[in-house]
Amino acid sequence: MMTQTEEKITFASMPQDAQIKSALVPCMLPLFVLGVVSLAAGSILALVASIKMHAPGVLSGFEIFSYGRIRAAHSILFTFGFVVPMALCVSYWILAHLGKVLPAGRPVIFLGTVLWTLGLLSGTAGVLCGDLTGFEFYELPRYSAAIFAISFISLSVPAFLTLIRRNVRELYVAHWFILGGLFWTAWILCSGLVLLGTHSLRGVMQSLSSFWLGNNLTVVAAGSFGVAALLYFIPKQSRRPLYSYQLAAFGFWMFFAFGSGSGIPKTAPLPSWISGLSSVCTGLFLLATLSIFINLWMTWQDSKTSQPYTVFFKVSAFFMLIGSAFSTVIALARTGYPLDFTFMPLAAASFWNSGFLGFALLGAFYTMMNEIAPHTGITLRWSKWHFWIALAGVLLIALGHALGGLVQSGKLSGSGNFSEVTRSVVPFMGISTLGQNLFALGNLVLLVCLTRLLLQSGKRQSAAFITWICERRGNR
Amino acid sequence: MKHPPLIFLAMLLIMAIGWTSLVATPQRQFGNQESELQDGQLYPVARSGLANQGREVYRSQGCYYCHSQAAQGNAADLPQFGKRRSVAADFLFESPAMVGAIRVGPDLANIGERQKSDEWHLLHLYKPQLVVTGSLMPSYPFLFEKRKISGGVPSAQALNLPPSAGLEKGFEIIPLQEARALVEYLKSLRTDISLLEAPIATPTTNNPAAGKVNGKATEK
Amino acid sequence: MKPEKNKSKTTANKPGESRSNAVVIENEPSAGTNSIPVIFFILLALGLFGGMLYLDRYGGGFNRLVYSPYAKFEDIPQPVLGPEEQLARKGKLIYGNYCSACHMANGLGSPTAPPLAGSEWVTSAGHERLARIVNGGLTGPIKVKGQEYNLPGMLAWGQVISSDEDMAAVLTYIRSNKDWGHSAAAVSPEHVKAVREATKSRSEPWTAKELLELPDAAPTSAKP
Repeated sequence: MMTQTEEKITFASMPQDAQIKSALVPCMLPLFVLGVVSLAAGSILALVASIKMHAPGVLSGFEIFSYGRIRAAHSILFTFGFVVPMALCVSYWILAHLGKVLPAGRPVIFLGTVLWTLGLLSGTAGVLCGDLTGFEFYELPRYSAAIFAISFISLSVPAFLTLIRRNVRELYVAHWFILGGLFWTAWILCSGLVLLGTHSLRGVMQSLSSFWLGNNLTVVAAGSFGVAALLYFIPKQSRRPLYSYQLAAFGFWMFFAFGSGSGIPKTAPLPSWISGLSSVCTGLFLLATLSIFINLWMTWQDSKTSQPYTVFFKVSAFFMLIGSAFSTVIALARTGYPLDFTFMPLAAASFWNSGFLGFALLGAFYTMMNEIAPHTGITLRWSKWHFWIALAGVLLIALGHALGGLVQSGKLSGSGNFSEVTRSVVPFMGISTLGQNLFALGNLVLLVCLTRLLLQSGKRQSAAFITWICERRGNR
Repeated sequence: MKHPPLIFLAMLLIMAIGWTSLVATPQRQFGNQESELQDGQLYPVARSGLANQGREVYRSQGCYYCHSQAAQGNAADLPQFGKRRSVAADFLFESPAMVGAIRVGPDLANIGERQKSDEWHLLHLYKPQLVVTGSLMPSYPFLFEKRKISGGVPSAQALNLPPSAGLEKGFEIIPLQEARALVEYLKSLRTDISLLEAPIATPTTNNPAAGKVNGKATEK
Repeated sequence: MKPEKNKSKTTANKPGESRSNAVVIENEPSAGTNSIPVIFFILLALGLFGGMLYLDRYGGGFNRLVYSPYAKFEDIPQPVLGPEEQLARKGKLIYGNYCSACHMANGLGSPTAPPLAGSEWVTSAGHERLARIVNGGLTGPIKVKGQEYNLPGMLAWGQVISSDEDMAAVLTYIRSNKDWGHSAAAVSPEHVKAVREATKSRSEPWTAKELLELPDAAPTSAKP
């Protein structure tokens, strides 16, 4: 054990919190902007898609707004435009703060952000012009996948360097999930490029790989970043330690071990052992999410303080559990059989993506923005609005899909006219569209909030810059 | 849990296990399968060039976001969507294999056997509500060309639209190459060959005594 | 920034119990020392056991040919075919090997062969004429479906398709092919044997005129 004096010296020589924050700002701001704009744009596309579900005549004359293309574009914008960039911001934040070190390789991060934006634009433009891959859960044109793979390496290497150079050597539980998430995303992007981009697989193997990779990306990799955010921000904002280190370790191993096997639907034309194995993994994955949820719940139960943004994280934890529970019910043969091919899996996906990942990353965004640019009051006020609108939105989207799925399941197993089945689902799609409306509105609120913050800060920066120039001129 | 390199190694192990069990093993089992003699003929056979072009149109319009191509082997699916469930062999020459996971519209695995009419398919693509009342499928007018009837004689390729389609007098709708290719692709989607792993109880001959499977129907 | 050493936060640190953070940093989260509730181990055990049971029922024995709803390979019903059906299926393969080159798989014929689909020679009540054509060959003009064909001639396949069963198979197939709309009676190997017996002294190909002189009665029984 170090003596008090030695520790004082060591701590004193580490960067201060304020220094760390100001070092993080230039690498995080471009990613924030990318994330928020993508989320807003993506949710508008999702809204249009949802409207087309019950009013198919809307925009049907335009090839670029074809339903499939909009869905694909939305999925790229949401996963690659919002989730991954924001997850990276959260990673840099947590690694720098917990390690008490300045973030490493910031020019590389900036370069990576530029490349990532290129990849995103090319991917979105590509799918809107018809370059869909054919796999719903892995919609990434080849050129876009290649750019993403390279730029992700460029964005994640600085994170690893920050970890290696950390001043506080102990690892917190969030570190494991961040490491796992970075490693998993890098590997999925690279192997997806090889397996699916190079057409080396034949027939239904392509489909199988796309299910597996897509699930690993949204549930395991993105999920682990979400969990890292929850495990960091909830104990911090509750000012209590996390309930149990051991339970977190248990949850970590279960999360990756079983999450990596889940996600292959039992309706696919594959031998039954594959989806059987996958369903078992989905069931055990529920145990992982349950353990993480209990850990967090016991932490915030204990808390005597309450911070304004903790509610985002609490709701996100609930959505994580609910989404995982829905997926389990759908995946198991007995319970999931009538729900095959209905909207119910979309409901589970809404809970996981917009609910769990969305709220975790939004809460992290507001918290981090508040710490970077405090006392503006903007984040606090607008975040309250955003929270309630987004919560109502996500619940309605998921409710619409879930009820529609139940109604469909009742009718699909009968031998009724197929179009009768579809017609009966229309009112529930209406509910879902209402939810999409609200969710998109909330994201626009976020966009406006960020713009105002940037403008304010831009004014201050420009004023400071002008002052600096005048001083220099005056000094000559 | 204190050392990043050990965590990294464990992650690598988990990833390797997942990959081995869910990608490498299936690849070994049926990734390299070839066409086999089934029910007296080679199955599957490659599609015609036009049907392959149609598959590209199917992919580019994202049809798999509403239509699945995976008939199931249970009582609910068998009468309406096909004679047997879809299996891996059906997708051998499909690249990409657009299996689909949701049925906003009916399953298309056996549509080539259920609906053989070019005219129906073209009308359906042009405006689905003309042939299926209350359909939620969007229309695809950009796969067609609207042009003035020249010389007062409608083209032989023009669609026979009912009056409710609202087409002005003097104009006709001609399917473009994309529409024709897509229809050819749809007609090529059939699962009417009995396979070892998914048998159908339909005989090759007209003899009514033939082809009972185990003396009872296949549907379970 | 105040350094804090080994500050225990919520629960007492039992001797020998490991901590996640030996150093607790102010304002940053740390992990507590509560142990995993036993229920999770119970749930894990139940989950693994349930998973095993699930794979027993839905795992299909890890066999690549077992698809839902079948539980194992032996459960897949194999079509039980009547003897005529089996013969026809075999005949389909033989047809593909020998006959389809000229008569085509769709039975519509080619410049070297008249059509079989819808042909009255194929679906006639009796098999005598048809069996002789295939066994002994055909030469000269022949009228099929109202159209006159004057082609170089058909080879005698009796030597190549030497087994009675094979010959019966291909004849049954073309006579009862559903795709061509045929549903004529099957031909048994015994019938073929009888025809071969009756014609064994003949070595020239048949002509249509000769064949039309033969009676075309349906056989009274499956055996001659």
